[in-house]
Amino acid sequence: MNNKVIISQAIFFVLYVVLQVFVAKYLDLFGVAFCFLYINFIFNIPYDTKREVLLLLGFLIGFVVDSFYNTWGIQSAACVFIAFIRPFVIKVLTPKNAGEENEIRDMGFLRFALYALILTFLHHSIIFFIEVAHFKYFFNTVVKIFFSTIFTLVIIIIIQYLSPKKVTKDT
Amino acid sequence: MQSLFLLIKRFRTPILFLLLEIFCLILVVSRNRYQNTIFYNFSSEYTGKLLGFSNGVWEYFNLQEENKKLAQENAQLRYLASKKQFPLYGQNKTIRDSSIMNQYQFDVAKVVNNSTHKSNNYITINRGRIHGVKPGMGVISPEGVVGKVKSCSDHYAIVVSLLHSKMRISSEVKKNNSLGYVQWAGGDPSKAKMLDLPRHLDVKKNDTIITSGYNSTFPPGITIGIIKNVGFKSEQTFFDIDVQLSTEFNQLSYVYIIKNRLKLEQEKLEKESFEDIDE
Repeated sequence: MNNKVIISQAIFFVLYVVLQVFVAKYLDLFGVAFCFLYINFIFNIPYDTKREVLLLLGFLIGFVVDSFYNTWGIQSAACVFIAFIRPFVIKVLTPKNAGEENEIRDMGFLRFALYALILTFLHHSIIFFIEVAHFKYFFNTVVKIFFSTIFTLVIIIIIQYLSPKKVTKDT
Repeated sequence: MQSLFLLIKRFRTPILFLLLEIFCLILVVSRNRYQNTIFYNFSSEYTGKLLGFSNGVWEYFNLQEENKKLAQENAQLRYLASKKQFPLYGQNKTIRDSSIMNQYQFDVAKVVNNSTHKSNNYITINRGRIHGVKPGMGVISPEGVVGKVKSCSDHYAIVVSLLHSKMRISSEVKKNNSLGYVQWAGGDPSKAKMLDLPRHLDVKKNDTIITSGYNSTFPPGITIGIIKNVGFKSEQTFFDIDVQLSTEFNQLSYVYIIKNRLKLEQEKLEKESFEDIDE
């Protein structure tokens, strides 16, 4: 990992946090669909990052977002979890005959969508279940998880494929 | 040690993951009021069950001690029962007057608040006006005298403990019925002084002190304690006696309230008579 990657990741970090806490925080559809687009930062951390660093970065961004949401620990717990599970998901989704891939972008649309879907779903399940902390409102929670996952996924895919390719290609 | 470090190094990612997750969950529980409430409600239910279970197990270990106490109390009750039949002298047969036979009624109460370290100690018990408790009633434990009811609400009563600087209990030495009174000297909750015992009497260490019959609060013959030390100063006409109290005030749990059914009658008579004389 060279300095360029570190700097670009730092910029992304700040960008996603700002986008999340100043814009996405106020996006909610019908009270059931919420948007947590900042987790796309965790999705896009380069492959060759060490797993401990991945965990720490996940914790860090979760913690920062938590501090703006005033929900101490909830986002961080979910982010640490998806950062932990990310390498396994990538491993499962990579076909055996595929060559060496260095970028998340090389995944292609379908595989990226599946990859994002799994992680988003896990992240949302964790945050909503910790938030209600109870199985009494099970159905409500599942509805929230379902719609929020779709909402977040759509936003993430739009961001992923609208951002200038050059920025990530060059690094 | 080496292999431990190797193990940690090998599993550093899962370990770091677990540590971070635990930290996050601690944050969730400690910093968010709603999750905190849910967590403590949930956990207190299970810790409560667990504690109840462990308490149940521990009770078995104390059974012997409990048995001993119960046996002693049985003996005490037998003794009381045998004493209850007041023989009326001058007649050939004893008249069993129900009001006299049941002169003293006992009611069990649980101690809900207690102190022993102040200079004036009070005990709260869970019996009150509804249960027929009135100010002035005596309170004893299976081991000995505890105190006297001072005031009561509907469900609770405040008892002036024997460990109170103004509490005096008319008492006597069991051996020769010599009269004095017991008063707490402050400090140690297991020791008191017996006062007003003239010096010519034969009093020794380990003699038992019991309540005298000369009051309307306690029935005669209830243990107060044993004499620990008999001393006297040359300028005084009375003994200076240290009493080891038999009641363990630190471990008080169940006590008996004594209802003297003839108390009112006795006091009324005494009051009327003394008034007559005074006039």
